[in-house]
Amino acid sequence: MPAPAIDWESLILSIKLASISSALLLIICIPGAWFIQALPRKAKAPIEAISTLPMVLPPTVLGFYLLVFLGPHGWIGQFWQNFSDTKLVFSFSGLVIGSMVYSLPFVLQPILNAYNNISPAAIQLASSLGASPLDRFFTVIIPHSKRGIISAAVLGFAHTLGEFGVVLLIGGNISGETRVVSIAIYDHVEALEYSSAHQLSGILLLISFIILIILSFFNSKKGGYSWLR
Amino acid sequence: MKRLLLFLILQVGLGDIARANCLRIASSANFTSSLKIILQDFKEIHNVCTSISSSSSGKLYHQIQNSAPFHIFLSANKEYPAKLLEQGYTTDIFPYAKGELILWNRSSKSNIQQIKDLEKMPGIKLAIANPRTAPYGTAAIEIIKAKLTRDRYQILKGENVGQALQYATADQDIFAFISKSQVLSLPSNFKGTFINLGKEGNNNLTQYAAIIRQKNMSHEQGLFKSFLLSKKVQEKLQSLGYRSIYASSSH
Repeated sequence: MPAPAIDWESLILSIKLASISSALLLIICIPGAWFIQALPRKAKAPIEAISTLPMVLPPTVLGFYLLVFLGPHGWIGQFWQNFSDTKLVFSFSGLVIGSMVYSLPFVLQPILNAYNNISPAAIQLASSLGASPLDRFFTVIIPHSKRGIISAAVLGFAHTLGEFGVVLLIGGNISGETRVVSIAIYDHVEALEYSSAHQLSGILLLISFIILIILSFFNSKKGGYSWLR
Repeated sequence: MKRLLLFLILQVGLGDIARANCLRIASSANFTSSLKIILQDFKEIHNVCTSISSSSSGKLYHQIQNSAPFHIFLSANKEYPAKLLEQGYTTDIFPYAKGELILWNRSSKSNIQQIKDLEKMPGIKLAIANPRTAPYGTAAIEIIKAKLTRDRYQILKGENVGQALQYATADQDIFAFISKSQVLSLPSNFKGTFINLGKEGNNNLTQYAAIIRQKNMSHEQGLFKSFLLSKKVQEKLQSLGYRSIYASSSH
């Protein structure tokens, strides 16, 4: 039997989804984590708990709530429809929102950890040299947290790449729109197209392996990544 | 980073435009392999881009209710399309094929002639599609309940007939209640054996299609309907394991 053509469409869709969701999460979490770490301890605990929920909840629970809120009768879905005249569930935009919820803790936590590890002395020093809060954020905090931010980006990307349960509930297996690679593999197995399933699974395995190698490389090399600056 | 973001945003936008003029077909799992075959002709004749989403009829029905962007719904029963018509999600429903429920096993020689014979193998596993969302599963459970003693079997519920078949390909002690068309399109290493359940109960599933109300593609929806009901396609479907809707006798 000839080998089937590789299903690039679902692979590219997954990579697109993972890139967009993790980029948007970074935009939200880089300033967001700073606000969270500055909160008094009593306020910090519930916010950290809520933002970590997607890590412990089954994806079906997340998917179910997303379906309720993003659906044509949910308030986010309705708002979106009034605003853009398109539907959120079973669309790529809906998947981006779902993935952002799903991967939030994986992006937020490394950044929070990085912020917590910055020595207060460095911030005080910058402050006594006359740096405004915004200056301090961009010239002291972000450079000091570089490794955490890179970890966050890589983890957010990798976690979204492997997303399945949430997409199954709010995506609906539409090619080029919501048929991401994990759904395509499931589809191929169900249709007994094992050679296609092997191809996609193998590629995903390889990508995930490379991502984890990159991640451990960054995490093990203490301060030794000058070529990145 | 900014450039990368801009590139990604453009990608999303362009991706959507490129996909906008594709006819999206929601197909019940029993029909998917046959649909792939007949669509080759459709694409050649009309030069229309198509995409298939396969699932159980009930799931697709709920997705359409939740505004999934399908243009055509090929259900395994009449009930779901009829409900969609009632609720205003579709403009037109029509029968397109008659499916047959069969009992399949992967071993090349099976001593099962009728469903009662399954009782000779205590603790047997029966793979069916989820009766709550799949018409083939509903038909299967009716026959099982009518013909078999309750504690003699174990039910494996797949999400749809595709998964029920997949379970049975993994183990020759599993018997799957699936559609005849699935068996005819099996890869050669999985031929197995099957028995027809015509004598056991209602195994005659008249499958209805629905034209879904969408803003675009109404011309292509019409093209697909006449293509599906054309004599040539109906004849082709008979070689793929369906009975034609035009056949006068039911057997």
